Amino acid sequence: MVVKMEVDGKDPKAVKKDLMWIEKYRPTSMDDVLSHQDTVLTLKKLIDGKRLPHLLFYGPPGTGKTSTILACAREMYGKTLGSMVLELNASDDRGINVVRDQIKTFASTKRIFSSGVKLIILDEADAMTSAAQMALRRVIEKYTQNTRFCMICNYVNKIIPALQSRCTRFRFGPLKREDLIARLGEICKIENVSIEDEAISALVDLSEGDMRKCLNILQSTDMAEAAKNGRITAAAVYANTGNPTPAEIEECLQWLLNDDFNTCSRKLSGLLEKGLALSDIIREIHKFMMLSSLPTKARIFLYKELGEIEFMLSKGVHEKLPLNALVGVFKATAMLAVEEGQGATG
Amino acid sequence: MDIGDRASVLSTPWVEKYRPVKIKDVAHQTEVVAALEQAVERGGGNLPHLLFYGPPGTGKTSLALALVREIFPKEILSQRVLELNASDERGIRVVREKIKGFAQGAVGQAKVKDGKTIPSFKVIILDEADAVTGEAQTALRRTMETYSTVTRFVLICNYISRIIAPLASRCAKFRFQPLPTEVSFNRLSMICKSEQVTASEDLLKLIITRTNGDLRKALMTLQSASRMVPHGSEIGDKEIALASGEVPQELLERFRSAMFADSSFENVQSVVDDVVLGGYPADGLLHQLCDLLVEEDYAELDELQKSALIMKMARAESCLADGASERLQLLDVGARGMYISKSRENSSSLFKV
Repeated sequence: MVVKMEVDGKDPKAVKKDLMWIEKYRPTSMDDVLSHQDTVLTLKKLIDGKRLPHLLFYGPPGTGKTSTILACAREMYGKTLGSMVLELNASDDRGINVVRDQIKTFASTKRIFSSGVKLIILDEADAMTSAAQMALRRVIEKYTQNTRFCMICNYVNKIIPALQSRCTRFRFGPLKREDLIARLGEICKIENVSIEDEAISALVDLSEGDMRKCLNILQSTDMAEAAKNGRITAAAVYANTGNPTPAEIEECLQWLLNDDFNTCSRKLSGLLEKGLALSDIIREIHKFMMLSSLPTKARIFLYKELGEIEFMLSKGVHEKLPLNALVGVFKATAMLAVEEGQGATG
Repeated sequence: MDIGDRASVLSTPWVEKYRPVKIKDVAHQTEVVAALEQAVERGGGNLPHLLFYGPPGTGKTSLALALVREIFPKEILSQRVLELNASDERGIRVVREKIKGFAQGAVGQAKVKDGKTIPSFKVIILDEADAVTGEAQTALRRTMETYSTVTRFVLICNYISRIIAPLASRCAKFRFQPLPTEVSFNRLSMICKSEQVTASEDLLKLIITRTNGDLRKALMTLQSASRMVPHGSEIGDKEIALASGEVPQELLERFRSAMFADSSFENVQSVVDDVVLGGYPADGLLHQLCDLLVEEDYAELDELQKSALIMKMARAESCLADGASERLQLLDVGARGMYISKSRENSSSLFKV
């Protein structure tokens, strides 16, 4: 797969040099879109057969929703893109008035010299007021003749059911590991970034299937590391995002399970002073504990309390008390586990 | 130096006076400093959107300001940089009008001046971005993308969990670390010297532990404490205690003995009254109590009792953050403490699933 960079015949490098990588490597055609082969294939068939329905794309950020529809539009309209597509996003005012005026006007008029349907892209549709969504219902149906709608959102439950039922829904799940790795390899080659394989897999772990996050971490790590070492390591990726490494988490668990309260509390505060966030540690610990063989009741207690500490942290309290509470939770869990074991045998 | 000059120097808060001016002056944050210095060297062209997060007083705003000062020459700084913080109105209307308007504006080609490249974009600094309403953050998403050729955003916040995920994923994230003791110590003693303040080493360390790595708070404490003693004489523990607004040891001791030794609710009540009426912060009391409990040779409670009490305290602090009444939360902790200290024999019953 080659990244296409032609921009109006100018030297592509000169035009795109100043761009951030997330914009620079945004896919321009439908073939470039990573993953979601089925979705892309279906869309292509629909476009070729001129049977495009109203669309609803939803899924977590950085999975290619906006890129896909923009690529679609480019494929469908080519040079007439400007007059045939109306793109509205949450940064535009989108109350009920806009639906009544702008959308309705655009949807109800026909172009004389170009055939085919027009396209209205409502990006970030989950941020539209429900009054505006209500007003859209009839507009969508009435102008189906010459206009198609594509709604894009992160949270599908914020779109009113009446609108959902008028659209074909496509879910954009988190991107697959292999796809991310392949794509990152290409980009590193183009940008002359030398990166270790472990660092790539660390990047992919941290990004949770979000291509945009992946590229942002890559670019910021590159900025920090290229000058220093010239090579990006997994440790650098973790350090740059302030995330704990798997080894550090294992060490934490050793302390939590084996040391007494005060020693453990001191060691953990030392770790935080090195610059890790407690909420990140808790998230990773949670993953590790999923693999452990705790008895049921102790496990229930542990997860409930971990969740509660995480919630406290999200309110932005100082980390000292939650940290010691975490130590306490582990002490109590160990006690519960022992007690439960005794109950089972005795 | 004439009198007017001296007066104006005296009245500047030290936090402003000693705010780092250059990127490399920012203490301790090596990763982000290295990244930004390199970006500036390359002319700032490939700067991504930035998101700085971390505890207060670790240099986030200073670094953002230093960055724009190094990228742009002084004359065009005001045209190229828009700084908004929580004191400005920042609802969805501002995002749509002010921010979008500023972001849309075109700027000239990148050019070289005095051997420095001036990049062809503007910078919007959104300080305290976690206070921007969720609705307004949503509206920022596409703005950040659409105008990324001419505008870069720097978002600054304490709590990254309050930035919506779609926004966070659009930025290069940098976590600012709490400053280690020796870094803060060097800074404070340097300032002490240049301000001619006498303070012992132990005292500076005391200030730093009391302020939990927040350099701004440490400086404020130092400055207000230095005002309490006559010029030139040494600052003592008493002044620091007053200036940092911490709960006096005597009250803490009373709270502890009311819970554990006397086990009397009347005593708990009277201490809580004194704390609240004295205007001392309730979360400060909880923090100091926590320090006391995890001290090396503390043996009044066993491990499980300690766990139960600290979990309770953490919960109370989180309620306080939600705006609960200090008095009720402290009474709650006190009452729970009494119960916990009594159930030494069967402390496993403290945790019911």
